[in-house]
Order: sequence, then structure tokens, then C-alpha cells
Amino acid sequence: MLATCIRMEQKKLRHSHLWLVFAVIPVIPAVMGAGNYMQNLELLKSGWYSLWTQVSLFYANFFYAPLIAVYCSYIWRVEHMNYNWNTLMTMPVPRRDVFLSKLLLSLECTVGLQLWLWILYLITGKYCGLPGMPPIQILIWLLRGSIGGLAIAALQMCLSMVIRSFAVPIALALIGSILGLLASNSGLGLFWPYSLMMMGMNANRQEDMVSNLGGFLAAAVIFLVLFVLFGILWLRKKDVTAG
Amino acid sequence: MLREWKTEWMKIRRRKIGLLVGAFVVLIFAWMTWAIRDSSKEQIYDGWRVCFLQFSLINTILLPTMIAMLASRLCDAEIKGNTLKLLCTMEKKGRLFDLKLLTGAVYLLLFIIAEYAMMFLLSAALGFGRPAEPRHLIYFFLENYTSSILLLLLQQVLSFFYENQIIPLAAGLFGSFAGLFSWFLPGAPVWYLIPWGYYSKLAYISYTWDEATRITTYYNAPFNFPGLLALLAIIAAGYAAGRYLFVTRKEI
Repeated sequence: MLATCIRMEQKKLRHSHLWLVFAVIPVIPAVMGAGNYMQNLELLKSGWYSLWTQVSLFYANFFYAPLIAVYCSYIWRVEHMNYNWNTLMTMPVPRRDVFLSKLLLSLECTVGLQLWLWILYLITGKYCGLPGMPPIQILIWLLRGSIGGLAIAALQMCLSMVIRSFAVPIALALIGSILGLLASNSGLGLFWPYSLMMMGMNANRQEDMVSNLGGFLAAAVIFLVLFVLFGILWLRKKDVTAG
Repeated sequence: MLREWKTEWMKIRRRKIGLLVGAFVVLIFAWMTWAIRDSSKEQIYDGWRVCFLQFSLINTILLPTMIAMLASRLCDAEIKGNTLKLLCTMEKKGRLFDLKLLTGAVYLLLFIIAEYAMMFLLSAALGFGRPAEPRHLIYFFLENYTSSILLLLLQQVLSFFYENQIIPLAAGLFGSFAGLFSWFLPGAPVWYLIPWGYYSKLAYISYTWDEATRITTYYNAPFNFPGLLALLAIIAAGYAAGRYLFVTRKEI
């Protein structure tokens, strides 16, 4: 049933132009990071790692979470419009599968965006004249960031499900990202889902921000489970408002 | 007209727009307090200039997305509720466009006033040594409010024309990036053509960073009056074009 739900959700996303948004927006931090790197070559001397600090700086701190939020908002917007809530809730489908199918689909966004950023990072690195291939560690950081991204996706799913506006959850994601920046700089990153993504990605750092991988993964799983449980329970208990 | 404007405010009751704008104000205050608390004595002494520059930079990052949200909230009520058909039988289309813009502009004005209040609060709490120059207080308004009005106009047109709100919101996110980019390459004339670039084009405080001493020194830069005139001209042309498109081309 879950697989069928995922296929249905994929159909709902057709002609949404989401791919265009995700293709274009990460190009800017990549170009910006490369420009910044080229302007400060006398300070940034660690090659691929230095370029990573510049590329990840703005992308992770301000834009990755809002991009996930755009995806989640769109997935739920179709339900908020044209009385689709009524149709959705009368389908012979477990509520759990409704929520999980949407969340699993967001993997396309959380992981896909990271891989796209890696490709852009590689292209800009080559343009800047960096030798060889980027260290595999950077790819691991990116994928580790997407684990934090999944916790954010689960939270944004809940927000977009509960809040009927398309725009408000995206604005909340931006606010969350900036609070995440403050939290991770104050050593409280493990307690705020938006910080987990920045820590996982090692945003703007050359040395690894995740000193305790077990703690990082535990925090990501706890947030994920918490938000998924909230989402499923809300769907089960709360009456819908269609319109 | 007043009755129609009152109707606009009634339509957005319980839409919590003020709450969300307020959340951005609180966020900026937290960000600035965090950023300024570890500043050197010299920076605290020159706190006003630090504030004028930092607030403008923060606005460049946050306001495009906040304004996209604001315009989307104001316009989506009509699009989602399919109320344009009914509204335009009772109200002139152009007036509806104007009043939405005016409502958004009031929120932005309150936002800028809140930023002034934050600066005065920080000044009182930290004791900025060098007093604020009155012309800088005016420049801050010209730089931030006027640039934001252009973005509001753009976002309102996008929000009215695209039922799929991804486009306006993506434009807001793109704008945040583009605006930020403009601070890194301020000399490029291309930023005059990009609406999000005006926060940096109209900046009137600049700084130098000494690598050896790691001291940042702030100084006054001449205000870019030709840039302001260009911005006002774009706002006027954009308003005329956006209104014309809404009145004549928008299918309801």
C-alpha cells in the first residue's frame, strides 16, 4: 500500500516545476562560493576543502531548509486546495501510509539536492583550477547533511500539513535555519533540527563539526521519529478542514 | 476607497501575517544581539554604523523571502478562495491591486520602524559612543524601505499571476541569494537591473578589514542618489506595468 501511495504522490507532483526550482537555486551559492574563493586565494589555501567552506556557507545556513520547505509545502498544498482533504481522508488507505509516502518522497529532495550541489561543487572546483577530484569526505558530509535534512523534512511535513498556507512554513524554515546557525555556534546544535543539517554538512568548516557521530545520528533519529509520530497522530485524531 | 481598504484588513484577520512579520523582527533582534555581543570596544563605539550596515545585510538575506510570504498571504486569499470573480464585480480591479500593495507597504513600514527601535535599544543597552548621524537615519529608510517596496511590487504581481505559489516563493529565495551576491560584487552595474541588488547598491556605510590586526573599520560612503532615482523610476514603471497587466490581462 505504501508503494502505491508513493506512486500516487508522484503523480500529484507532475507539472509542478519543482525540479526547475531545485535545479536553479543551488547554482547561485555554488557560483558565489567559487567567486569568493577566487577572491581570497591568499587566505584559502586548503584547495577543495577551502572551496567547500565557501560553497556550503550560504547554502546550508540559509537556503537548504527553505528549499526542503518548498517541497513539503507543495506536497501538502494539493490537499489544502479544492476540497482534496475530504477525498484524501476517505481513501481506503492507512493514515500512516499517507504521511510516510509524502515523507519518503521528500527524500528525492533532501538527497537529490545534495547530490546536485556536489556536482556543482565539482564543476566550480574545476573552473577554479583545483586538481584531481574532491575528497570523498565532502560527499560523506553532504549525505550526512541529508540525514539532518530528513529530520527537517519531517518537521516541515507537519508544519505544511497543519498550516494551510503555502508560504508560512517556508518562512518558518528560514527562521529555523537562522536560529539553527545561532544554536550550532552556541554548542546547542544537537537540540535543534535545523542545526543538525548544518553540522552534518560541516557548513563553512574544514574541521569536522560532528565530534560525536553517535549523538548526531541519535538526535536526527529522535527528531525524525517524533515528527513522524506527531504527523500520523494528527492525521488520525484531527478533523480535516477542506476548502 | 477607505471602505475597500478596511475590507482588505478584514480579509486578513486571523491570517497571522503580523505574527509572522513579528517573528522576523524577533529573529533579527536575536541575530544582531548575538552578532554584536562579542564585538570589540571600537565596534561598540561605532555601533550605529555597524548597525546600519548589518541591518541592511540581514534585510538583504531575509526580506526577499519575508516579502514573498507577505505578498503570497495577501494575494493567496483571493486565489485560493476564487474570490476575484466576485470581487471584481463590486470593486475596480486597479483599486484592488493598489490596496493590496498599500496593505503590504504598511506591514513593511512597521517592520522598518521596529528595526529603528531595535537600533535605539541596542544603542541604549551597549552605549554606542559615536552618535547616529541624522542623515544616516534617513538613508537607512531610503535604502531599505524603498528597495523593499520594489520587491513587494514584484512579488505581488507574481502572486496574482501564478496560481502555483512555488514561482513567487522560489523568486523570493532566488532573490535572497542574488541580493547576497550583490554585496560581494558591489561594483558590477548589472545589480541596477536586478531588484534584489538595491540593498547593496544604496549602501552608505562601508568597511575595511585589516588582515594583520583583524580590526574592521567602518566609514561613511557617499549615498548613491542616482541609484535611488533609478530605483524610484523602476518602481514607477513596475507599478504602471504590473497594474496594467492585472487590470487588462489577468483572467479571473
